[in-house]
Amino acid sequence: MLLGAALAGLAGGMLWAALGRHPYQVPVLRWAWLVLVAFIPQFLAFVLPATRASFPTVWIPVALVGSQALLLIFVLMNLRQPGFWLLGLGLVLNLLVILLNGGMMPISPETVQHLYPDAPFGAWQVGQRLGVGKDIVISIADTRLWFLSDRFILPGWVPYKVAFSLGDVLISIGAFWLLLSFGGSSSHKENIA
Amino acid sequence: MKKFAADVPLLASRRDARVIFFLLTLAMYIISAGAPDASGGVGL
Repeated sequence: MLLGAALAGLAGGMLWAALGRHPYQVPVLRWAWLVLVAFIPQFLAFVLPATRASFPTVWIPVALVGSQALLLIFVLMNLRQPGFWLLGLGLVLNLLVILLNGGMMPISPETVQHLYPDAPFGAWQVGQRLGVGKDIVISIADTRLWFLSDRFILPGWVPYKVAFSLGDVLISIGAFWLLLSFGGSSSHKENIA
Repeated sequence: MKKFAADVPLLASRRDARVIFFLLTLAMYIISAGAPDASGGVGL
């Protein structure tokens, strides 16, 4: 979903640049290396099949919160770029609800049931990490700032099932806006080296 | 060097390389900052 919004923004920005007969240009981001440093622990904990299954659960909050704290520094260093305040606000909202709920993104049992209606009994439990992802299953009543959790789901007619948060929505809009704006001719000229 | 650049169109110019680096950085950011739980993506 997030990457889809970015691709849509990129396509729109390139089309905008083509129509305006000028090149699609991106700025040089400050401290971009910090994103790679932040990505590595999450890649090991949630993405790479060889490591995510054996990644110690007690270290998940450290990896997730530490990684997102580094991303926050990166955002602050680049706030002048278009859309970065939305990228940052979405990150802050996600980080806030994660911090207030033990270091993982809360998701309700009802949402999990919607996502995994055919999951075998015992595949997930309230109070436990959901599979090898970033989420922890917590009832709505026990979730702090529930409205910031992974509470949104796509309409039933969409074959792809996913739960996402308000922060994810803001990050999607920010990425779309950012990539679209680079198709403009002069709005960010001063930031391009 | 010019021949190499011609053989690899994506890296034909410094600007293209910068765009690719920028997109990779942004992709890593949104994967790490976002926390969507996708069906099938958590090993259940």
